[in-house]
Amino acid sequence: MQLVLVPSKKEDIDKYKTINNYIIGVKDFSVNYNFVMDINEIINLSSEYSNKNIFVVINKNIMNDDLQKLEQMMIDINNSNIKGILFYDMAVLSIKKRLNLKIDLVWNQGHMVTNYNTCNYYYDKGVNFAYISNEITLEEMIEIKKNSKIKLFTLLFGYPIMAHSKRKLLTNYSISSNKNILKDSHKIVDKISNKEFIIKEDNIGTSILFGDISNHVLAIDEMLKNDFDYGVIDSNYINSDTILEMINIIDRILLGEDLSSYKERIINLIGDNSSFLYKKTIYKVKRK
Amino acid sequence: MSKIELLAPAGDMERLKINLLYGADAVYIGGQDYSLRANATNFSVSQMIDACSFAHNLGKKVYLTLNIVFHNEDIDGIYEYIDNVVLAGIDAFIVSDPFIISYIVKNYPNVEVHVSTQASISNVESVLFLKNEGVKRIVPAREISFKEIKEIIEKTGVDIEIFIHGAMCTFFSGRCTLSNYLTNRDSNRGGCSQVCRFAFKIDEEENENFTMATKDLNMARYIKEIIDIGVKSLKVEGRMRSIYYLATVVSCYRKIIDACYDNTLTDELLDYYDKALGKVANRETSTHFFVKEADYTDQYYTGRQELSNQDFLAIVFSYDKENKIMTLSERNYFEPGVEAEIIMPSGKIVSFVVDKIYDKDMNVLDAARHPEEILKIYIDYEIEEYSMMRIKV
Repeated sequence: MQLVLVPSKKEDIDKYKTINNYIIGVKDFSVNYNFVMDINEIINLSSEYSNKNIFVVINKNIMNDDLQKLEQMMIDINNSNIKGILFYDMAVLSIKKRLNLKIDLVWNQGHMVTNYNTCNYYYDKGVNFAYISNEITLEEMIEIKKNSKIKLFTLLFGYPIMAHSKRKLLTNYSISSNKNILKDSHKIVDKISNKEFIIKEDNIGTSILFGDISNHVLAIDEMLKNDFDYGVIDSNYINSDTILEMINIIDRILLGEDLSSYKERIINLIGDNSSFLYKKTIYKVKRK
Repeated sequence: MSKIELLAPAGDMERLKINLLYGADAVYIGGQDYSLRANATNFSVSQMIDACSFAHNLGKKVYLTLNIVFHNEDIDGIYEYIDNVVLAGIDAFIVSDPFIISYIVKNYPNVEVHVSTQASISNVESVLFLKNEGVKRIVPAREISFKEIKEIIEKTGVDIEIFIHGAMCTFFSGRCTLSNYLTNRDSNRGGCSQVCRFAFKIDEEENENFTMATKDLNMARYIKEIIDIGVKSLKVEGRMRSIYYLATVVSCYRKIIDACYDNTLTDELLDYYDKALGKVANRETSTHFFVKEADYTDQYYTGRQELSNQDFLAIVFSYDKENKIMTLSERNYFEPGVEAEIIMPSGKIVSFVVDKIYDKDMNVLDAARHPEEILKIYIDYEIEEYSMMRIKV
């Protein structure tokens, strides 16, 4: 398994020296990412760090007015050192095929990357990677791995994204309540369950993240046993010392050290919320 | 030029019949698996045979939603299921997962594939991609505007179906898992628990109510414009809505559509239908992203109550022409003297003042007090089966 970092600032590339793969948001085309850069800056970065694999994220819902810029951007990416594009909208795949671009694509429809048949569908369309949903079980992830040739990105730890809206929910609240609240990140709490979420708004819309870190690191042995390809560390909202120590621990486990000797420290650092790894969601309420 | 299609939601056989009798050209239904309203009654395969037979005899169509986001465990049996429902006579599938598209297009080229709004398709390029995959119709993301819909139609030639009435999501379809994290119910497989309608504290302030809930959608005043840009189908939301709601909404849009084609639509008519639509809703409405970017006026904040609606008085079972007496089943309390009207499947509306109310044995009642009680009322007008009696609009 190779580690992939979602940095929270440009300097992270120098700071976390053992990481060779990065996912960076593109200004005006990425949602749910705190740290984004202009595409030309990322292209320059990919030249500067030519020994690293830099993936960019184009995961907004593309509108007609975005298409011309998207097409030019994909041509520029294709001619750069950027390794690949994590895409949400089918327009990206369509443009790649139409222009016969060589750039790697990562199917990154978040909550919808949940079965091996759809992974195979995209693989047959020339998509070599998929970033698997955070809302499925470890067993389901393993089944996908076994039944598809597509290479998998899996979250190792980070605050998981729950929802994205085109609506400016913080601005709207600010206007309606006559309160001048900042559009940056806020904490909201469900009044019944007391569960916390992080909400943030930018010029594209509003995103909501779960308020606890998802810790999939404790399942890393199973992931390694099943040849999971890329483990993603999302550093947003997590302090850099924690990220650094976690990377060191994971590096040691990848080199063969025993997970159990680090388990307590891992839990101290990022908690033990295994999210949906061992918890199936239900979708039919039983009738009495 | 063929008329635009009016497409209505049917959570069960009764709703299906009401929709079609009241003027829908087609209905969309869910099977007992694989549909995004997992907790509606939905249809078994044998019920689908009856549903298709009923619709086809009226020259109308039935579309089957197969729009969950599939997990591995859902794959087992899906192809056999598709084979069976094709035999049942389904006219089209509404899907979101692309591997399903491939299977249907390859094996059943005569059955249309419609892409669900769950896929949040929002641009010309994606529509062309799906057209190339064999998709006949697309229900685009509800976040796109009139101008964007028009451009998609002009540049792709793909049939476009848009939502015109009913509840709206706060988030992009497919991009919301609030329900999964808060209630462990999978929103992308039909288990949505509508967390977006909950109230939240913000920034630790106990007394603050941060809400994200949206008003409902109502496009009644824009039907002419929608027809003019070449949209193929107008979709009403709500497979779990009541038969009265469906009869009213379908009937109003049927009248508006027909009036658009007959050039008889007036502001007065629109005002009347808007009022009738308002009477069955329990939320305020807006046009959301259709004419402008959605803003704070499209959402709810504090102080909103969802009021139950008691305008629906009774459903008509039969009419005795000889004695001029209709037999009804009561739904809400009413008494003699109430100003009522009857809406009929054919679109006719008859206003009258209720004189005497009788029970099934023709004993006079002082009021209709018991839901589902069989009642008889004299009326000198031939009333159609499945008509609905309501408080006068």
